Amino acid sequence: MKVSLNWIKEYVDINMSPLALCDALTMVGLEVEGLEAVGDGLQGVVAARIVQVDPHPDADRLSLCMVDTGSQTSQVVCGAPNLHEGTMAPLALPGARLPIGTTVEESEIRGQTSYGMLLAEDEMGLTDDHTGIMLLAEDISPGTDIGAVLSLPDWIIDIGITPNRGDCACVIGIAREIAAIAGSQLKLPAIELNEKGPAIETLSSVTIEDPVGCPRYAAGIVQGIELGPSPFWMRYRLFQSGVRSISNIVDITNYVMMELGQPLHAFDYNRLQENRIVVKRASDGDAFTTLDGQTRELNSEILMICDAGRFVAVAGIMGGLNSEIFAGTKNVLVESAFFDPVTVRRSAKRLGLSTEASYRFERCIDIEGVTRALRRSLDLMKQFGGGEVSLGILDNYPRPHVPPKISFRPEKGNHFLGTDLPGETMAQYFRSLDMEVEEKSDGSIEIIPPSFRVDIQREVDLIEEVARLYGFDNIPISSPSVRLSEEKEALDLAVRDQVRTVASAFGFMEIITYSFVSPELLQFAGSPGGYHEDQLVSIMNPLSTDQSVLRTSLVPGLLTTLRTNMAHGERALKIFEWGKIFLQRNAGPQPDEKTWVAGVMSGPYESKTWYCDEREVDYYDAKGAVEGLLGNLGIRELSFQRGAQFPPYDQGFSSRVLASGVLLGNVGQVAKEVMKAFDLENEQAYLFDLNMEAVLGVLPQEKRFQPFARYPAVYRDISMVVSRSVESARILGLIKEEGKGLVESVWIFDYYKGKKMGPNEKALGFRVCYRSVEGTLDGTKVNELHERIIERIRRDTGGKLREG
Amino acid sequence: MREKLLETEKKASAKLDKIQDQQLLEQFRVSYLGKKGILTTIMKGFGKLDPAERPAIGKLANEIKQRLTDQYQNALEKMKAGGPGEAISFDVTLPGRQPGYGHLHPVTQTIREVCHIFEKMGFRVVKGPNVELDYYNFEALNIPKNHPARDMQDTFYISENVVLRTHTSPMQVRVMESQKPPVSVIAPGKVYRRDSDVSHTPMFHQVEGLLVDRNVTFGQLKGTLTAFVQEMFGKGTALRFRPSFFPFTEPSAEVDIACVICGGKGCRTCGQTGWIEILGSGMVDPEVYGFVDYDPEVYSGFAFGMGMERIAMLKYGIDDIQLFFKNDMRFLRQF
Repeated sequence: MKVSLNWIKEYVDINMSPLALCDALTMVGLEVEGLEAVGDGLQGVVAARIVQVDPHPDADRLSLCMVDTGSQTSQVVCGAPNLHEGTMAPLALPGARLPIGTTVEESEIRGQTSYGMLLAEDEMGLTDDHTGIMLLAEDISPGTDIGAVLSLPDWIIDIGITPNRGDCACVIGIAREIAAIAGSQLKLPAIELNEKGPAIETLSSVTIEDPVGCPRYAAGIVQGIELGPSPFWMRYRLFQSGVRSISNIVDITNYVMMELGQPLHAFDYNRLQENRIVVKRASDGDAFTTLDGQTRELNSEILMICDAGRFVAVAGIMGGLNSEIFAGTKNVLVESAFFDPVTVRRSAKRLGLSTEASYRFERCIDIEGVTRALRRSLDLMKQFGGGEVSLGILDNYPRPHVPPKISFRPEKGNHFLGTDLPGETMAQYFRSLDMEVEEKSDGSIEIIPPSFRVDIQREVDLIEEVARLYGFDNIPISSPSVRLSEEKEALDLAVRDQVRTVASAFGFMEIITYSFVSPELLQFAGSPGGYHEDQLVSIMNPLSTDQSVLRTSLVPGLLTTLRTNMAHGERALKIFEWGKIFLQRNAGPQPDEKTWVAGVMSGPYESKTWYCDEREVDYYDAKGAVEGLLGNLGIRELSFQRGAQFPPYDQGFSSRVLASGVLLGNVGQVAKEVMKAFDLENEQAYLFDLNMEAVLGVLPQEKRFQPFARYPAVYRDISMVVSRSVESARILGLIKEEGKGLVESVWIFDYYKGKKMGPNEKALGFRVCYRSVEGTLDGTKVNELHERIIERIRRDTGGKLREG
Repeated sequence: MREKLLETEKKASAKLDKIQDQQLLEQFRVSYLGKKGILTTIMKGFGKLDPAERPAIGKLANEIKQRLTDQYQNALEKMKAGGPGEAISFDVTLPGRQPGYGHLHPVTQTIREVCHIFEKMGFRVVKGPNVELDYYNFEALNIPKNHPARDMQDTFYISENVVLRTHTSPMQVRVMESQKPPVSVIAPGKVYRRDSDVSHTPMFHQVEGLLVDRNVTFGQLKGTLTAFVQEMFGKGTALRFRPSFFPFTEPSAEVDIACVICGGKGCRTCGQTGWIEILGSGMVDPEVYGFVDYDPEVYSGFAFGMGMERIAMLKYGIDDIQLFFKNDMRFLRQF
């Protein structure tokens, strides 16, 4: 909320610099978000008297004014409609810089010299008024600086009001808080109504049919008003607070709202049927046109202000077109009411309409301040609207305020805060906040908070007030003695951290993408294990359809990132993401959230360097990453089975990753149509994805030391030519099976397919390591076993020994 | 003849000293020590000598040949061992054969650092769901439906009573529901708000902290967070606790640190205030204990929450929050 410091100073004496004041406000919880000096940017603008007005000889819409600037009389060309001899107006002398950014210079306008510029309010940045030049009091001496004439120099303080402090959403509220900090007195504006009109009971009545929604409704009447602009000082303050000026009557209701925090509404008294007010709920299907011209559909939750026959306002939110103040308004009925915060909030949400009034009602206004605000507005209307105030006010108050009585224990306060404050000091804080304080014989204090402090209901709320006024910074710091809980940290957190560290060590860049994606991409992204459409988790109120469904796999984020990086010239990309995927696979209200890690590789694995040639990534790079990630976690017995059953993968060039028969994830080439869907049709990419829950399930329970083999190993090679459809893993399996007990390890040292082979053949070279735990191996025995293994491969695969 | 021999030795020896290359060394061997080498040639001329001189000259010639041979052998061995000659041609500046390395996302790194600091203080890491019940995200945190505090966070709804969590605070309730005091946990994770502009992304990361036990005070909240700030941003980092409002803490405090850009003098980053807000905190509100069946007369505690992107921005001097989710390699490579 933006407020003028000069305005605040009307209600409280301030002996601090603006900066010190802002700091003090911030440190009691009224956070100052901005401080701006205003009104000192008008150097070279003075009050000048127009002594003569003549038409411009060559322009119909312009006039030539002779103006007295105090030191001389000069000619100024002006196009304003309100130029009269004798008028005082602000004049920008040549050289003056205006807040709108222009520098005024002596100039020729249609052949006539203009020695400066007569100004409208908006040209000086004072308000948004541009109806004509600004008119100043006629008793000012010409030449006086405009800043001094209008008391312009001021500070605008922008304060962030927390939802619990609705009482501070007004100038008096902030002044009250300053008075409490500074120990000074609050000065409320004096009200003098001088009622001369008829008794109000003869003019109107207020009926409340819904005392829950409206516990209090007060109204007053001013007759014979003259609608016009409000005085400059009022418009200036409203403008600085961001409120648009409408007319004197409407401006006064807004001014009092900004001043006292009580939203008011002015009805045209004569437009109210039977001139009376009824407060009740609307019915489903009703409609109403608010004064912004919008026709709105109502329901039975919405509280309405009615006259004898129809709706005239949405309670606490906005008035109606049918009863608003207009040019012909003579008599005004002013509403000052307390509307239930929840009712107003629900209505505002329902109507999609939030106003300065609803903002304050939602935060709860001062129910005891209703009539004061009403009387204040009547006083101002009498002064600046020219009307007569009718005798008395209507005050229908079916549910009077019952203030809470709160018992406060000073020792509890000290114990909670870690302070050692005397009870008397605390009591003094409460008094400075306008609370009623009664010190009891048992050392406790009984507190009755003022009606505007609706946030104070409990002892802990009072503890907060003590902390605020004592100063958070003054509370001594200490260290908690953390007693360790018996709960253990979940194992998966450590594993997930390790996976990410290892992936990055393998050269993968970690990315983080949004959890929501475009539904269009889902058919390509799929989900590991598949899903039905009704398992998708959609956002009811997405920012855009592109971000409307929770992701079912990490693939869209990876491929999108691949594309955006390729677009600015990255070639070799290895990226991974660790995160959750979402599917409604259970009957509960919340979907399943499963953690996956997935990566993608594209472009050259290595660029051409001094020691090697460039090589494009392929399936085996992605597979190697998976083997490495899982191997590092201790999962080394993996099996890869052809064909990932997951849409992003090409069925022919991908595999499922299993350990102990459990599916952990997939690895392989991204399918062409998927690449195309992500605008990557000219690229190739290899993907892997791992289900962290499954990985955790197959994690070795504990690590056990194995003694090293004591006897020497014997190595023998086998080179076989087999059909290309025979997978290497099958042969490895045969070797291990046949050589069980003596084959310690086998690795593939050669793989060849090409000219020396038949079209359907490939050659594989295996190096077998034989070793016994019982003793040194006998060469003949090894040879015999080796031969048996070769024979077994021949028999089972139809292969033959490679020659030469 | 004697002079000729000694002269030759002197020359050869000096030449040998200068040789830095195996090929030149071989040339030297051939031209001086070989079968057709200079020494052999000289020795062939011994026949013309006075027979009385012959034995002495012969002896000298053999000695010289032996000395030069030794010197040659030494040079050869040195060179084979990578003597100064090989070393000079060995380029230590050629790039190494790198296995390649990636980087963890700066948000991940920040979360790790923050969690690590609290883990050292005895806090335990816990995690919870992103898709959260309205009950945990709001109700049990003392944010009833139709309360203006709901305006503090624009919410993505999955259904009427299910939301994308707007903060990590639901973990406070979940943890207290599942265990009795003492509680000391931190909960890192993704949070979501329906807000996207230059300074907001609809998803970001928070770390939540909660400590509940007997005799926990506001002073201890200050002590814990002061220790955190000093460790995270450096010893001597000025900070202040400023009263604020959160429905689930009372009193509530926001913590500001002296602006890391201007050091507190006032600049654009800190809006001329010299302070930058980094986290929200407060004493757990007794209303919240009501939802988890803790007795507020016995237990008290504090909670805090902070945005990781914000901390990372301050720590690394990043000026655009959008960068975290664009995943541009030129950005990610810097961390």
